[in-house]
Amino acid sequence: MAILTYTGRRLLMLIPVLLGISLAAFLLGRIAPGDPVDEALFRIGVEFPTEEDRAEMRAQLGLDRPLPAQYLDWVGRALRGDLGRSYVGNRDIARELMTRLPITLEVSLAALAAAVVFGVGGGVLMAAFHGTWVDTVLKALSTLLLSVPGFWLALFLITVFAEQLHLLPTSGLDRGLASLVLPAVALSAANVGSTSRFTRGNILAQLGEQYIVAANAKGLSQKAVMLGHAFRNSLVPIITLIGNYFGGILGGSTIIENIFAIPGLGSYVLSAIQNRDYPVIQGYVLVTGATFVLITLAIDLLYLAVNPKIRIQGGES
Amino acid sequence: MTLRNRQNLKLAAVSAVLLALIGMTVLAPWLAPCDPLAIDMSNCLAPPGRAHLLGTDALGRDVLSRVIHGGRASLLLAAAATSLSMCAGLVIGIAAGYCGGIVDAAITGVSNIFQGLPGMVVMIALVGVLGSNTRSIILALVLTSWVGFSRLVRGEVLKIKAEPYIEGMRGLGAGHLRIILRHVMPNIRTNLIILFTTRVGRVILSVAGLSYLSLGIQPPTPDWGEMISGTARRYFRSAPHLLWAPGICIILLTLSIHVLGDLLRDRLDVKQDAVKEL
Amino acid sequence: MVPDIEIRGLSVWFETAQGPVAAVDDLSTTFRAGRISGVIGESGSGKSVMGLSLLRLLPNTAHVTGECRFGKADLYAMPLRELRRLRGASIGLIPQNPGASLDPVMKIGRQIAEGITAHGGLSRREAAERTAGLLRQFGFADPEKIAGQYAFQMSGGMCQRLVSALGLAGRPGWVVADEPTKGLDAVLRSQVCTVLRQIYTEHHTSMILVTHDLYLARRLCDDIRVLYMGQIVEQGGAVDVLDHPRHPYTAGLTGALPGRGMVPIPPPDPERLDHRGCPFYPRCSRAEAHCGRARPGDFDRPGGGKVRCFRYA
Repeated sequence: MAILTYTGRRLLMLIPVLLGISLAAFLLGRIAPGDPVDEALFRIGVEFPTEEDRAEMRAQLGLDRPLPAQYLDWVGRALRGDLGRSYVGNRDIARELMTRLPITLEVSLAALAAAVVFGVGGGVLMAAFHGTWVDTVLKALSTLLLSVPGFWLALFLITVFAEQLHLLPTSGLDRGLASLVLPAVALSAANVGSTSRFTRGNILAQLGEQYIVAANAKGLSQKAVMLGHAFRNSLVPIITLIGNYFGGILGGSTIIENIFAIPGLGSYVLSAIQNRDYPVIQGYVLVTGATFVLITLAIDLLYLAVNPKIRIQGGES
Repeated sequence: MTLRNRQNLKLAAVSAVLLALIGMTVLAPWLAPCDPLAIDMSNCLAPPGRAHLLGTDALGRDVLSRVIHGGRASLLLAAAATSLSMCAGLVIGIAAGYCGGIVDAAITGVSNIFQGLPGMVVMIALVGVLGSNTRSIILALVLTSWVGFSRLVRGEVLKIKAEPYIEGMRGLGAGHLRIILRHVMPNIRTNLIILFTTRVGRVILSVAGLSYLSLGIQPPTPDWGEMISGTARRYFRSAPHLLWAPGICIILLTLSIHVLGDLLRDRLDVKQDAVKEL
Repeated sequence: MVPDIEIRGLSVWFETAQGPVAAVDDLSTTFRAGRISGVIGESGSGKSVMGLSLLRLLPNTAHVTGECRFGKADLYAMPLRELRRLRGASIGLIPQNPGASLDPVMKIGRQIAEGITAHGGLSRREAAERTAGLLRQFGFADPEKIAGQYAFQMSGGMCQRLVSALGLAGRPGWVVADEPTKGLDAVLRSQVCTVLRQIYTEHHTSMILVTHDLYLARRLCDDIRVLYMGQIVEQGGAVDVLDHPRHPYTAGLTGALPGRGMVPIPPPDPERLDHRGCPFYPRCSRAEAHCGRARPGDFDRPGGGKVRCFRYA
């Protein structure tokens, strides 16, 4: 019962965020420079439109109606899977986004996995060896990772692993897992840095708690205290943080896709920006925004596993 | 050596690095040996040597001079955007905490929506649509980072509002807003400084990322991010120093900012959870 | 045969941002097996620090010197790995603040069973059975149900009984009870008293009771040590020390009780703060001039025991 309450509340909280994302995407199309009517006429070959041409096109595009009506109209079509057609090539935007989404998701989820494994793992190691050289070295390394721009790291990794050592491919995704390694590492580096620092800090904060003293007093091994108690208790804030990072990863994948020539959403939106293909940009915001929200929801549901209070009482946030 | 002395020493060292970098960008016109914009097609991609200490790029421009100039635009942009975000966050946070009720609920709702948006995606789309000029980049940066500041401020105002001594001062006839301003600012200063520091670091990386995508600082203005995407990206195989020089500058700058933030946090003894941004 | 615990020359200081702070100052005492030994004093007197130091459970900022004989071992010097084998199995802890001492995300049953399985030899099933037995002993009518629940579902009194069970899970010969009545109301306090008495009589466990609760100390303890600023200022039989306090500080503590006039110990006299003598000198109502110049040694206490005050020189 509590599980349903919690899930229900989370689902309800999605609505305003999804509304916000759709509004942002819609408004992007409105604030774009240039008159969409002229642009549309130009594309069908009318270079010097008369007032009648323009009025007709305006009505045809629905631009003569009040803004809220236009928004509802746009959202309605988007919900039916119609995001319009691209200016360049006159292709179905929704279909194009959907074929590219899995590619971006593959790279982003690989990066998220790397952030979880190396970030949380590194943080646990640092906390376990708190105050020793292991901690000092790893902490310096994680602060460095936090400070390196992803694109620079990507180019650096290409020079080392692809150009010098010939271990991994430089571009594309056609060599399976091997071709995912460099993009995922470059994309997750900053998040590995911040996740490990956060994990370390959080576990160390837990180590000062009374129940850790009690656990030690039982005679448990350091490993049992660290993993069984301190780490399990720091999971809740860590999960929240990692959920938030996924947004950064989705955005950062634009740059990484560009470098590794990966045909995902990022490279699509970059070419759309160059071509001033506004409907594509709108669709991109809508799709990545919704993806982000859904992934965050999935991660939030993990709370049910790690926090018994939510599982049993439904709990506040 | 006591803990405090050691902290002070580290703080001094990091501040020195940071000041040196900032000083370099501020004094760039006097420090740079050549004109960073001077093109010399007869001397492209020269390796590091006597005439050009760090060599030249594909257009024959002096890399050292471009590196020295390369922080100006993005540092200025990052400082301006983060200051604006902080101001916006202060006003909105105080409004939410002070007014409470519907205003607070509305602001919290809007903040939740903003926090639900993936920042970099919004930035790319916004700059992509509005065009890459200073105004749209700043707008994008402020839109994606005001929430952190306003949350911090709102929390602090609510905490102060609940203090019994505030009630007492109200009884003595002091105006509510004045009390809050007088008591909120000293309490919030350290956290704001730390949040500002970590934010600036992140914004610099965002601007570099935008520049890399040709959405940030526009050529021919020298910029580290643009230098990496422009010349270095195409020629890093044959001329790796093109990648190293601007890269090290960005890394050193953000690294020293992050370390400064950490040291301030330790030094000012701020609880970990007070500033959640990492 | 359960050995005594002998502390020799224990000093503890903490690293803080304001510089080092001493908590225990050259303390020596012997806790005899088979008895309930009390350690009393105000908060900040160093009594809990001393109690936790036996199991080396102090935070990393604490610096400990001295030795602590436990049979052949020195608890302060032995490798941590070996000490972990003694924790819970030879010396158990009933921690302060029961609510916070239970892990919020682990089932109660598993938390107690952990204390049993940590010392090996028992399967999960056997440990679960022993856990159920222990819970029943501490007054839980339905142990299986409690074992499957979490700390946030427990009341304050239940938590206190649970941490007591936790401290005894490994069947230790010694148990350190750290402020078991701190912040509890009268009903719970007498409940705790019963539980501790039960531990002592049913499990034949030697006990160190660290408390500021003089009534509890008087009802349970055989002998008692009074701590002030990290030093033992008076020690002797519990009832005798509390009924006939010799040291001005002990007299102040008992005099502050509701049944004995509720006269609080005065705050330090600012003019006496700068001194090199007895630590209690600035607050002592019976101090004489030489008290501020030299530190008193341990003198024989009328009625048995020792007292650290020049009045008994």
